[in-house]
Amino acid sequence: MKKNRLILSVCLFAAFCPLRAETPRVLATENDLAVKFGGMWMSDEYLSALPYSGLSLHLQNEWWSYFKPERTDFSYVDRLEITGALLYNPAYSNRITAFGVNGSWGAYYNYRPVGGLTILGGMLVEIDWLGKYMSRSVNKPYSMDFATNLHLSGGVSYDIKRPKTAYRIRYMIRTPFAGCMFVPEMGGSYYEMLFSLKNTVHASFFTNKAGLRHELTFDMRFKTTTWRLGIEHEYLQYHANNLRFSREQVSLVAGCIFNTYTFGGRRKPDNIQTVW
Amino acid sequence: MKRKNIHIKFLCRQLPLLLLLLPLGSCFDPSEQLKPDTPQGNFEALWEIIDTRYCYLDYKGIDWDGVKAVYQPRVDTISANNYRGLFDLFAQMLDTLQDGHVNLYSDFDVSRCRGWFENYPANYSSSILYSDRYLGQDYKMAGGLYYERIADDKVGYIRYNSFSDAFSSNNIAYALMYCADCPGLILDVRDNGGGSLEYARKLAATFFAEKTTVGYMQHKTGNGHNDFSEMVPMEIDTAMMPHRWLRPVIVLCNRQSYSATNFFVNAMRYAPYAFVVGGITGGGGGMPQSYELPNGWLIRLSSVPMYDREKKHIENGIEPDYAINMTQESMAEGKDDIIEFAVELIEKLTQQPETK
Repeated sequence: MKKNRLILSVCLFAAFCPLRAETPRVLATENDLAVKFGGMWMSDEYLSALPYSGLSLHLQNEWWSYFKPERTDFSYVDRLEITGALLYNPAYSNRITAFGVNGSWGAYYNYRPVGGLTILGGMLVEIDWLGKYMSRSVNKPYSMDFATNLHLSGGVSYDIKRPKTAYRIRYMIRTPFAGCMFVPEMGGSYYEMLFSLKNTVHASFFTNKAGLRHELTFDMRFKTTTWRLGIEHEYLQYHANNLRFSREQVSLVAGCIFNTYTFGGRRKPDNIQTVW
Repeated sequence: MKRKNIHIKFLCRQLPLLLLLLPLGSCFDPSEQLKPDTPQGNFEALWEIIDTRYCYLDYKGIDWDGVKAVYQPRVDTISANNYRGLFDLFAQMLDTLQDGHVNLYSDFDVSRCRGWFENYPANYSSSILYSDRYLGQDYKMAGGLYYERIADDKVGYIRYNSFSDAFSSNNIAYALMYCADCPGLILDVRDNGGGSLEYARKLAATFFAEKTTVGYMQHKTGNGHNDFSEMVPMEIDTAMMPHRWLRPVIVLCNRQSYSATNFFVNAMRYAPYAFVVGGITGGGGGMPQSYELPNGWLIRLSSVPMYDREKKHIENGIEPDYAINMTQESMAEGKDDIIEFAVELIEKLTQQPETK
């Protein structure tokens, strides 16, 4: 009996020892904080038949991480962007002030065919709101883009590592596939919409909503900081209720990247799993 | 060194592809739908905006294609620099709509339709109204409401100059409390050219006992002359105002009671103790909206038609319950016939209460 107990104890010890020796890796979140500045072109037939153009400023943060530290082939991203823009008609006789918030969550499969190269493919769920105010419009000074979208998204990134530094070039692209959007009726006033939203909520599909958003970024890692430069282009067009809407923007991107993680104890863990 | 070369070769191969992809989405041409900023381009844009967005073309029996046939050839006689000539031509064309809500705005002028009130009695004199006989100089002001007791303090009087002037429920409450001992109230909206529909609904709510449908509205849903949405009821909700005046109230109006004031007078026709006195209102039953021409001029036009409770257009004005005109003789004596009639009506209603 004693002999059996001893054998059992040895077996259990042997079984759990390797697990104790291997402490779990700490999963880091990559924070991509960026300021984007550039030109915006907009057409909103509810407000005006004229195209408006001007300058836009965006603040954006992306949080990239893996679902599990040991599975680096699946990553996810949370994204929040705040937009402000001032746009004028061609005659500079009227102005649209726009302010918007865009939030999205996406998941990507990371395929690494050769060292340094990662190909990403996945989907994004997005909530997009852009409020527009036209100062000289009578009884319909407000309009808004308000939509939820499911995007198809992909990208390519290439890492170049050097002894003292590292670089990453990344190209990301996405296009709306399906969703739901708010579009006012052409002569409807927001006064009426306070009482009835009839015929203002529409399903969107690639047949009535087309768009493309892509960005090319170049990240440079120095001693303690990583900086980003890039260019982004977005085009979106949709139509419903006999009205067409479109917006296009080209922005220069500047930002910084840092990793955050949580751990127990006083010592910084040495087995952190970062996205980059 | 070899590894470095691999990186460089890879980049050289892939970067052109990436750069090619970047402008892939640049297929948006903002000017593709835009008429050119030329006299003909602006004419086409204006004509099309009226054709697709103006709500009374069929109701007024206007042959808009015929109007185009008349005015378009005249555009060619105007040089590109003659912006005043072009503006005047557009103003003439818009005058055919005979609508006070139709205006063309430029940096140098604003067009307006003529004849819709000029051919009617004025029925209002501010010098008589602000004389000691009526409002005087010591009247009270609560927000946009001017009020006083008149006719030996027997009748409350509230003057409201514009539905663009704000007032609160407290303003209404204090004005009504001041007139609490009066058996009736005069609410003067003559020469009130309109403003906010919300103020019209709030003010009317003071004189209703319960939530009441007073009319309907529609909006354009397509480019056709009769592409309208279903009629949406317009209600006076008593919850909007905590204070009630459920005694005789006489609404004074004239031809320049327009737009939101026209809607207010229409609503008051359905208030239980209200009577409308004066001249026919100016109309303006179409809520206006604005659009732009390629040269930046702004066109305002009736876009959302409104109806009374019987689903009839109120574009041409509301007939009063008692049509009274101010006479030259009375005006020479400093008397306002419409106010005098309203005071008599209140006295009569006090002796023989009457509701609708």
